Amino acid sequence: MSAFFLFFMTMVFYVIVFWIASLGLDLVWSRTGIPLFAYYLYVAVGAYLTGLFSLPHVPLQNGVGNLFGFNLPGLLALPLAAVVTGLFAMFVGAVFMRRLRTDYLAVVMVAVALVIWDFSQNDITLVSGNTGLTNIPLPLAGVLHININQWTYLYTGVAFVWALALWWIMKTVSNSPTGRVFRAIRDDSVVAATIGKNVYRYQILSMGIGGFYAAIAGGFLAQLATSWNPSSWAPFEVFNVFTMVIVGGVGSNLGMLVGAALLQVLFIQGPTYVASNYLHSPTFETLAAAAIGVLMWLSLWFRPQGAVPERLKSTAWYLGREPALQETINPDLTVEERA
Amino acid sequence: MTTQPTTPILSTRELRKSFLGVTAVNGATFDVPRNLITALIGPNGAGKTTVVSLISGQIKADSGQVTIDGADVSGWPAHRISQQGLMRTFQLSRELGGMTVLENLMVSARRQTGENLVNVFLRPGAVKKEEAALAARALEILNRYGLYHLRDSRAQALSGGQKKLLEISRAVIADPKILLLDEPMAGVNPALIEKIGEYIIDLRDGGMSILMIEHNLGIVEKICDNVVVLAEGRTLATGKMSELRENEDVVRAYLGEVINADNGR
Ligand SMILES: Nc1ncnc2c1ncn2[C@@H]1O[C@H](COP(=O)(O)OP(=O)(O)OP(=O)(O)O)[C@@H](O)[C@H]1O
Ligand SMILES: [Mg+2]
Repeated sequence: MSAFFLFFMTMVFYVIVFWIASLGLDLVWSRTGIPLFAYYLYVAVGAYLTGLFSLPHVPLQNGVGNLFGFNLPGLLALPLAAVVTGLFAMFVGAVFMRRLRTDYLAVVMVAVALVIWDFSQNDITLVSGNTGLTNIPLPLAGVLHININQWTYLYTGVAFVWALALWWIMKTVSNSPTGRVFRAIRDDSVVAATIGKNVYRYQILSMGIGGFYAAIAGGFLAQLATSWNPSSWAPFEVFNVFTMVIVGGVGSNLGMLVGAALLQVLFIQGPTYVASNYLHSPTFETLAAAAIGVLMWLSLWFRPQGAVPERLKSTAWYLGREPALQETINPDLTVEERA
Repeated sequence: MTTQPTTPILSTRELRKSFLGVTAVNGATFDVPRNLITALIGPNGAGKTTVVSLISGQIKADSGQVTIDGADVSGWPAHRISQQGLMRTFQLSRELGGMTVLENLMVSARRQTGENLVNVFLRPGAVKKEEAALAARALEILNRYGLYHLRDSRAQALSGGQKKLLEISRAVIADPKILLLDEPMAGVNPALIEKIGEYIIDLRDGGMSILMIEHNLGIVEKICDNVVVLAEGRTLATGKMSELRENEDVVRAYLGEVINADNGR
């Protein structure tokens, strides 16, 4: 029972973390129209930085070591890493969005992510190559003197609080005039520029926010695993997040939770648990992972709007709080009556 | 009326643009006077749409100069030219398809407090208030152009004629000094053509300056104060429609052809 409960809470943790990750991708991709296939690069940067900020400095020795380490408390290392990753994402955006059309950008970003991933495997001077970062401290565990199980329950709660805050922020951004400009850019960036919006600036802003969200997710993943290495962010991982966004419903904040839950429970964590406890068959796990591709295809085919479709904002939504304004408009006066 | 001559709201000087060796615009030079409706006419492929895109910054000119209200905007990016007080519509309507009709207008309004995220979080009250007022203004414009009943529809669901009206509404909410219309009446039924003509005249009477591309010379004669003729990327002539009918170059290059086509109908 206790083993199952630990598995369950770990799964909830993953659902929460990937809710955060898909919120960020949804903003950049579905709401701003940038096909950011390098999204997992930001997850990885956030994870590495969270690790480095909370680890002590280990000088390079026998191929193991890290460039720097700040020994910061994990709860602080995480947001700090996310801010730095957000700035990094804005910088990358500023460089690549300057000249490239978004469809070329998609290809270039895939290449950039692959090159950096490959580099991270071979370079041992920065973050120990394939060994990666290990022994990333569990935040609060030392202070509160709790064991790993208790820590998992506690930190799932911490992640949930983060997720709620990030969900509220994303909701506020997407409901705002700024979010409307993002959607205008997604629908037609030429029109957005024509009506006076600085498309480049908004694209960079969107990438920055997306990078922040990706990094929070990455930091949580690294802290839960107490490690981060190239196999933690294999190139295909990003497609899981894309699938969560598609299955959940592009442009829908709650849809992202549904997408993350569906994939983690039915296709990732669930099968892993079943495979290791009952079937003892890694093949099953692999098949479940492969089924994600089928899920994406089925979803696009049968329900392209996703589980929770994007909700359009109605006139009533915009006027809701100012009922007096509704009277200034005569809804019955249509063009037919004017004629 | 002042006795002093006013500078044109818009002028182009020696605009040139070629695409992979095809010269689309080849020295277009003309002025658009204030507070009038100016027609930009010329045969298919004369470079009219390209000229409009060069003025509004969607396409970068190879050379030449564009002045808006006295400011040299040559080489500026589209959004800055727009902010200078210029709006345009597209020959093939470009609606923001995934957004509602109401939002298509709201997003187009100038200087919104909530377009800065700092304000979104630090001054939510001001942003909310501005949004409601903006929605009300957008609804009035939709009502004026007969789109009120479509306010909450996705813009991609609109018909061709409705999209033309949406493009005009979206430009109008920004209250531009100069409005460029690329064939606002193409593919629209005769009753709506009449209406759009009235809308354009109303905008001029409200103080706007307008440059519109139009093939139908009957409409040009009826609603335009001034005409610029473009042929092979060059300004062939400018003046009143009645004067241009006397101009042999113009008749040879364009009018003769169109008049014959009109008779053929
Ligand atoms: N993006 C482009 N790439 C290549 N050639 C182009 C491009 N845009 C325009 N052209 C060419 O430039 C010339 C002028 O085109 P433009 O669309 O400006 O003409 P127009 O006067 O608006 O014609 P119409 O009355 O048919 O709309 C044409 O020969 C066209 O093929
Ligand atoms: Mg044209």
